[in-house]
Amino acid sequence: MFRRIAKVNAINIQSIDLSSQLQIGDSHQIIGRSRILAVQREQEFFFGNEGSLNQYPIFNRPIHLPPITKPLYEKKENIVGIIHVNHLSVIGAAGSAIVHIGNNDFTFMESKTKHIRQNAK
Amino acid sequence: MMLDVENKEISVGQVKIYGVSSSSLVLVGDANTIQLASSFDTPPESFVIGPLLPLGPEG
Repeated sequence: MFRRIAKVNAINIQSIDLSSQLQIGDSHQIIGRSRILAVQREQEFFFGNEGSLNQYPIFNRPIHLPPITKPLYEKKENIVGIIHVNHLSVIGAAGSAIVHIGNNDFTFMESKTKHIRQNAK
Repeated sequence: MMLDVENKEISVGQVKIYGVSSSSLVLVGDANTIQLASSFDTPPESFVIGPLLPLGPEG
């Protein structure tokens, strides 16, 4: 099937971290997961060896997605074969995030976050 | 269900994004299937008032 071309003249990304990705070009399948244990403490000290994910049930609780009921009959005609973005600027991509220029067939991404706030008495 | 798609011109001047975080996707292009899911857990007992104890050991 003829696929369109994504054309971006200028990209300006300042930071890509925590297993994020800038993908330029087509891809077939993307599966991304991120597990975040965020602790906000009133006083700044950091033990460095604390926190384990299996202590918190959220990380092994499945997220139920609506099932994909195939088939979907699709007739697609690309009269103009170009997706054009002149300028794309992203300040930050973090936590298994993906900035993707190009086509993709299947993407599944999941993120689970546990937030804990500790205030001193 | 029958989906009849006719793609004509699509041209965007500028896209400014502050942040793309935790398993999210910025896609410039075509896609067939995208499934994004996230769950967030901050129950009342996650708001702890008292001595600032470290969490359990790592691992």
